[in-house]
Amino acid sequence: MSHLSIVRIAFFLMLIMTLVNHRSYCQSDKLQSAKNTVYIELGGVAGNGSLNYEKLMFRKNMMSFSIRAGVGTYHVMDFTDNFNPDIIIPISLFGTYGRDHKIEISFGQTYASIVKADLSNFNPSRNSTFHSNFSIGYRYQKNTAGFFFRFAYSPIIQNNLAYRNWVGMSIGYSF
Amino acid sequence: MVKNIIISCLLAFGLNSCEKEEFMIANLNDNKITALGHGGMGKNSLSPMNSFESISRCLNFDIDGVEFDLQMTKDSVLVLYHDEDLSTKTNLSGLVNSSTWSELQKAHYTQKAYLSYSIISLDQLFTHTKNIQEYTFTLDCKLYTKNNKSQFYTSYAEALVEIIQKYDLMHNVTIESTDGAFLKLLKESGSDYKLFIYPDFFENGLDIAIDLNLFGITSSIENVTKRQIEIAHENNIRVALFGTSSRSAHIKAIEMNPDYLQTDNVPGLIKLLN
Repeated sequence: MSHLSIVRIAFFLMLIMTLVNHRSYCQSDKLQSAKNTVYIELGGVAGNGSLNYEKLMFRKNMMSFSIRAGVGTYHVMDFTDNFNPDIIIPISLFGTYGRDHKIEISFGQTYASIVKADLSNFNPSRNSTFHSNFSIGYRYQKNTAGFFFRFAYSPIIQNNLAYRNWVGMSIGYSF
Repeated sequence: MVKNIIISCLLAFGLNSCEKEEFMIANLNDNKITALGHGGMGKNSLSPMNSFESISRCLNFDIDGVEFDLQMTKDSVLVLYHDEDLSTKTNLSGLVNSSTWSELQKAHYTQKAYLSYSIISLDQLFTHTKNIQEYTFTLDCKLYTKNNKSQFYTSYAEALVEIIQKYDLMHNVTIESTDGAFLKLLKESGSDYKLFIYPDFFENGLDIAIDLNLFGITSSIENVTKRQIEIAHENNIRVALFGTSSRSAHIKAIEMNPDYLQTDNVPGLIKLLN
């Protein structure tokens, strides 16, 4: 990932965290259940990293289910130096079990729109593909607002054919 | 107190970043170093080395040119690929020389998830790169084959000469190889190519370069000293270095006065040399 994209992701995360903080103070007195999580994932299903939003769908006792959508990139500028970013969008369904320390399992699909040379004329061309994702790992997440962390083995099943071992680490905030 | 320490650290860091390096370069290249991207943007780049995307990204910088690896297919097409076997970096397997160009067009790099860039031919690179006459191209000839070596070398040299002549790049290319016999074959073709030997040990390379009257020696920065480069220059032999990525490695390399420098960090080297 280029320095520019890291800075941009960090900026958006800080912006979101600022907004989230304001809201979480409002909620802390009531100790409401946190249903939303934003986090940055290093590695993981988007390849190098992604910015993610996760929504709690269902919780009963120590079990919960949530859905995540993210966005990641490799290059923001294409090989002709024009703004034309690679776009990687992972969508996953999560099942977790535990109180603050949970085990998690997920599966989903990743949409990848990658800019590469069109071999007929060697101009930049967007190539869209779908891939399967899967993960199993650990997460620290309280049921109320607060710090969020996860680490997972998250292989990428590229083009739904080629299996690629991979891991991811996420840090974020639940609210 | 803490605030003062932080401000001091930031100032020190800022001043250090702004520090301008001055170099007094003395070499056989008009006292200039020809800066080349190693396989394009280098081995640490997200785009695979030798891909069209990596080479194009490299040439977007204010750089002198690019180095890349060249192999020949079963049907004598020169293609850009580094490793001996296709399986280490692509979805195919076997030697490049055991596949036809048509088969290789189905190959894509697999180093990074989702980035399935293609293998390209030298002809495609030269056809679709703008202003090729403005750049220096270093062709690292990889001679992997299971066939008769002598016949293979002859076919390889013929394919190489043909494409250099097609694009009139005689003065823009430097050709490097680990095998003196291949360079000797090119030398005997009659054209005055800039030929570099890429030896295991610098001393051996110097002997071969002097013996064959070659243009230069290619070496990793780890395998050569400043004194050895001086001796090469005293014998009218140029030196191309590779294996630099960090700022300190670039400074170390520049201070050794090479004639060519193949970098794994294109923006870093350009910033230093400019």
